[in-house]
Amino acid sequence: MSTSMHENSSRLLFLPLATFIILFVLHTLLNFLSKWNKKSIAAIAKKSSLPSLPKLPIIGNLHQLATLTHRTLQSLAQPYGPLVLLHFGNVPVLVVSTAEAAREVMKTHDLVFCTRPHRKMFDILLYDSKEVAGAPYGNYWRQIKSISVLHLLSSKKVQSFGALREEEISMMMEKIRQCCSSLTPVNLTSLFSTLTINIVCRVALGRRYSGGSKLRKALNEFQLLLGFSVLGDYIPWLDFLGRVNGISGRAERVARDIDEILEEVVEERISKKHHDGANGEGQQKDYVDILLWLQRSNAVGFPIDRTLIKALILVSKMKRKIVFLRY
Amino acid sequence: MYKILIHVEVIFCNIIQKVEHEVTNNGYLFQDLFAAGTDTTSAVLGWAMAELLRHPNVMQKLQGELRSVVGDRTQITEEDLSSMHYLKAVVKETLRLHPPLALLLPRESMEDTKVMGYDIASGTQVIVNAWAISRDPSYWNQPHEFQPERFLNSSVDTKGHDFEVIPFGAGRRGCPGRGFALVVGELVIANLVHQFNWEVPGGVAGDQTLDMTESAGLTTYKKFPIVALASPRT
Repeated sequence: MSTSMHENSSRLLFLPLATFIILFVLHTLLNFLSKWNKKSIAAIAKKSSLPSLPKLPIIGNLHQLATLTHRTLQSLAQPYGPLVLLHFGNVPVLVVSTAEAAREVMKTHDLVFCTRPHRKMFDILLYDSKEVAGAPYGNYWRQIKSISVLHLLSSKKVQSFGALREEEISMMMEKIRQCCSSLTPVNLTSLFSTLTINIVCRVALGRRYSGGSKLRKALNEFQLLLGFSVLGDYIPWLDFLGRVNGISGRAERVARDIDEILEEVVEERISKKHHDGANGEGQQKDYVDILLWLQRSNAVGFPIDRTLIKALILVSKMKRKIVFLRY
Repeated sequence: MYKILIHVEVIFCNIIQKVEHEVTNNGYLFQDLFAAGTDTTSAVLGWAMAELLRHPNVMQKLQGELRSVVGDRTQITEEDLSSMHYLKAVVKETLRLHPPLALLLPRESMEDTKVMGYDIASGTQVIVNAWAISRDPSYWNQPHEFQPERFLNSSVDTKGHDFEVIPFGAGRRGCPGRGFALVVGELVIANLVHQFNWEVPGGVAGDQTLDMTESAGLTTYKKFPIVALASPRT
């Protein structure tokens, strides 16, 4: 009863709100149209004479977002040369299409272009962007990146997981041999996916998760949602739409599920350690152990809390899961 | 007047809805990093096997190299990889044609700067089209052809120093997982090709296995699964 009243009242509230917003939009739209072209671009991109794609007021080139793949971006950019400017809502977006221009951005001016755009989804799904891939540039990012590199991705570490990789690969070869003897065609796509997930789980969590598990389901939803951009990232005053269509709610649910799983893994490890009395670096097996050891020994220059541990595991999972991860 | 306003309102609502729909459902341009990160290795493995199945001469040459390094031993180990130059060329060529994150991960500028003579404002997002760059005819001969030989007598590498092929990005935000990714990729391909002969079955599965259509999404997968018949090489 109270829920339905609550729904009604929020609907009642929504209508005038929507009307107000729409009027505001119209007003802004007219404003933009009158000064079109000169002020809007100039304000954002300064005096740059950078070639720029024609855009709509307010939404910029957002209406083209769905069709902007690497292929369409290539043909869009071609007439303009190595650099072209788009706009997603308020946000200027520079598209780089030649090796020379890429070198300028990622080498000559690497430090200037060293941060990541802020995404609302990351805040919900990735512990407030506490992880390595999406964290903004700064001291915090440098510290957590060095933890990942040192304890997970250095060539010494990569080597130390060699036996585990070879074991997983020979199990895959065994499956293929079984297909051979039964003359069944091999679905390589699905074998590759299982293999990479198994390797990452074993490296990061110390155990393998089988097909239908809670983790895999949560991870699928997680990855799907991570792919979503929220309109509010580009047009902040339209952020409420993310609540209306339920995307934020879905994201919060999956974030909770994943948190529970990771909490369980960390908790299990702590009580096991406690029980065994195992200690020190020599015993370390997987990433969770390493992070817990770092936490206990205070080996890095800042405190590591439970949330950070979970954030790093999550990223490493994605990342290594397959590997080419990126930060 | 009132009617006109209502009309305008409806049109505008439609636009907003459409934009919202596109951004949320198809905004893969900006998929996260992560989501991207997760499936990249298995995507590349798929592309590599598809290219090998489409180029039997390359497959044969690769099998020859593997045999010459490990002889009759079945399992190829990580120590064997260092002398397998053609294998490494096959993986590089796969990454050149099919970088799994075709647009890498977006970066953002932290202060006003000048790039190639243009002013770039602080807060500008940057998308690098790594896919377009590694198929650019001004750096690559026959850029759309799968020719691992092009990497054989060349120092060009994917470390992020040679900007004509940057599947792992470059600089401070370049992928630190590159080493891990390459070991897994090379080891899996080596064992698949050394331990088995591969053949494309007839019919739909075969057609789809050789079909190189790309999936939508931040990580560029082969759209159709790769299904092939294996027979042990003794």
